[in-house]
Amino acid sequence: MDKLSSKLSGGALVIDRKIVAENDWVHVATEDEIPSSGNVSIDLSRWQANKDELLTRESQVAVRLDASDEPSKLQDDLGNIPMIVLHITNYVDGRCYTQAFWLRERYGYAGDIRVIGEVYRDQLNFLERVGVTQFELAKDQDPQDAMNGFGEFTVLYQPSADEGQNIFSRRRVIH
Amino acid sequence: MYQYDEFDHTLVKERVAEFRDQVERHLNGELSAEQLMPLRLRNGLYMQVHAHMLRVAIPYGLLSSKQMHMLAHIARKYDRDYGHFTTRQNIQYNWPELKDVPDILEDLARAEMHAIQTSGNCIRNTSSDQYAGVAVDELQDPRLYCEMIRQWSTLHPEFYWLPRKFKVAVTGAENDRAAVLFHDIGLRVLQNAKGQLGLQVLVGGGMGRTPVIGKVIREFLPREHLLSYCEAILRIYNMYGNRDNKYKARIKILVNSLGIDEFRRQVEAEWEQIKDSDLLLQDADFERMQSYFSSPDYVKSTADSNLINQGRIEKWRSLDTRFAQWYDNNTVEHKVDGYRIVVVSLKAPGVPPGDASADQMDHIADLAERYSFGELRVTHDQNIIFADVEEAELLELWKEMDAQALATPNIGTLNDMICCPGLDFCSLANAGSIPIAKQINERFDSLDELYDIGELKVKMSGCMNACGHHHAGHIGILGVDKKGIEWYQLTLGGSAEDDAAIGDRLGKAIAKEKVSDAIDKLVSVYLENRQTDERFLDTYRRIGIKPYQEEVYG
Ligand code: SF4
Repeated sequence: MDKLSSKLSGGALVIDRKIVAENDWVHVATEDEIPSSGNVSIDLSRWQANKDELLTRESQVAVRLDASDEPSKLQDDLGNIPMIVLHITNYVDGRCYTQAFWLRERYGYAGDIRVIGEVYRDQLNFLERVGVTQFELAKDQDPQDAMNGFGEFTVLYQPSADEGQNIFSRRRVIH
Repeated sequence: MYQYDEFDHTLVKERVAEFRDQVERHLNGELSAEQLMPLRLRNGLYMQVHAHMLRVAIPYGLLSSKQMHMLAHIARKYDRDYGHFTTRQNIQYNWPELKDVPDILEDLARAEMHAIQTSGNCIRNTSSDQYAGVAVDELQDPRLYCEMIRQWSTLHPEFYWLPRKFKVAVTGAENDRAAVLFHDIGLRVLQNAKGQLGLQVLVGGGMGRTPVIGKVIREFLPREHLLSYCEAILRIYNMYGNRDNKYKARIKILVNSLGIDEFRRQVEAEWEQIKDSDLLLQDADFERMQSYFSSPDYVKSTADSNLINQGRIEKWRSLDTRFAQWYDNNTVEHKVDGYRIVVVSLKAPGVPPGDASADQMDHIADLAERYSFGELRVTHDQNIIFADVEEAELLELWKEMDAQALATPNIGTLNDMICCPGLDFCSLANAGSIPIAKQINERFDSLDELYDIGELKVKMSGCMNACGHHHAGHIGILGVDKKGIEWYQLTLGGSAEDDAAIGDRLGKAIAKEKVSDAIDKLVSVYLENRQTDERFLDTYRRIGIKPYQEEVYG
């Protein structure tokens, strides 16, 4: 683990509502050098500047968006990106929810979306609803406890990037 | 009114369980006060000067008698025997204990009520016309739209962490009583030339530090697109609203900085993508929703019964001037012959505007049960309404209300003031508002004088946040703090109705003990200058601010 960690790496990784032991991604900070091997996430500007070169790496390259980054900038690259990382620097900043929604619903992105940074239990439910598939928890978030953050609601009133439906179209079928 | 089905019951129960767990984690030390804060806010729980404050949603102001009894029960069991009705048709409790709040929410859930999204930077309770369904000037019932918005916006995963709070209002009447021009989204239900039902959509209105009147983003939106259009607006706002400065974070600032045309372009582009999605509504959805708001079983009137009623009311009026005063001020014409809308005044002298005791709430609930089909509404002016009272029963009802201090005949007068909690309760306040209301009340204690002055909307806020909507007052009063001393800034000429306007600043702030004197002077300028039938606002608009400034500061 140690050699893989960077200043952006978080605590436990959760995929499919399970804690996963392996996390072989390094989130390379803007100012840091990209390690020569291994899976890395790269910020959007560096991706845009060095796309061709990055795509020749043997290991995988993910693109990382800050809250102010436009998902539309990745529109043409989505087929080449196995994972998009949304960096949450402040959990009350809700832009990542729209970024994820747009990636899924507007651009039809089918790869993984991972959140890193301030990722705590009480956000997981809604992040999952808008299409996030991997959760790198904040270091001070107890991973076992975080598992309780999923599926707290069995009734969904609106569609999003999940199985949620417009409650009125659901009622149409039932009543 | 709307009745929960199994979905609604389950959602509210699951929400209570979630919050119970959050509070437990906080009390165990697992969740810091800082981490709990945004979570409790989204369950209506604030931290005030002395204690927590819990704001409970009253969706578009509509309540059943059973729900009102529940509000009384909560005041009695968990609070200090009273509650405060707000300008956004909600109720606030000023003294709940944090550990009790999950139990309060559970009790509320039993009465099909909740406190979800009543605070925090998310979509708040949708407000509406207090006379919906019974107003003479109503074109379309706005309540079904409100309820649909309520459900769509509840726990919307994408719009739970907005740049700032977000408020929607809907009206369906000729005269706007819902202040749609002062909301983040304002909707007017209307029918186009082809007979199609739809909405005029306004965006970017609001009070607060920078009051702005909303702008039309779409003249006619067919109603099946209600939810997708709101969603498109919210998505653009969530992504591009200012997040660095909370004073610039409301949607009105985004709309102004992009310009309404560019904002519209972005919203429409987003809407194109989603308008035919699962959010698209069908006629059947509206019909089902409308059935919850169908008219009660009114007694059919005839030409004879109308004559009898008129005669009866004339007789009662002539026999008892107090009844006559109440009838003239506190009842409103109903769309159905033989019925009247009755306003319960929560502005008795000496009581903070909008406050009701638990006993009063129980009485009001009982009276609604017996005289008004078991339904009530909360008004933007912080009063309560019985919407469907038979004219033949008005005298009996008045007597019962009078005995409970609920019939103060001051609706629409200067003493029917709107007032936020101010320094007495609110931690953001610069100055008190309740003591000023009291001062003005005491100064204008003669009903004859109040009636002579006529319609005069006084609205007061204890700070720039403008919860008391002072910008929209014919006379607005804003509390300001100058080196720890309370001062009051007056504005003139505001209105929240169709002639919406933001009040003009009168001049430098007034010392606390001088506020009612200043109001007195403003009123005297009006009385000297008014022409037949002119309201305070009309005179002001005709003669301008100068004479008022000269009188107050001269
Ligand atoms: S206007 Fe200011 S003082 Fe009054 S309730 Fe709102 S925040 Fe508090």
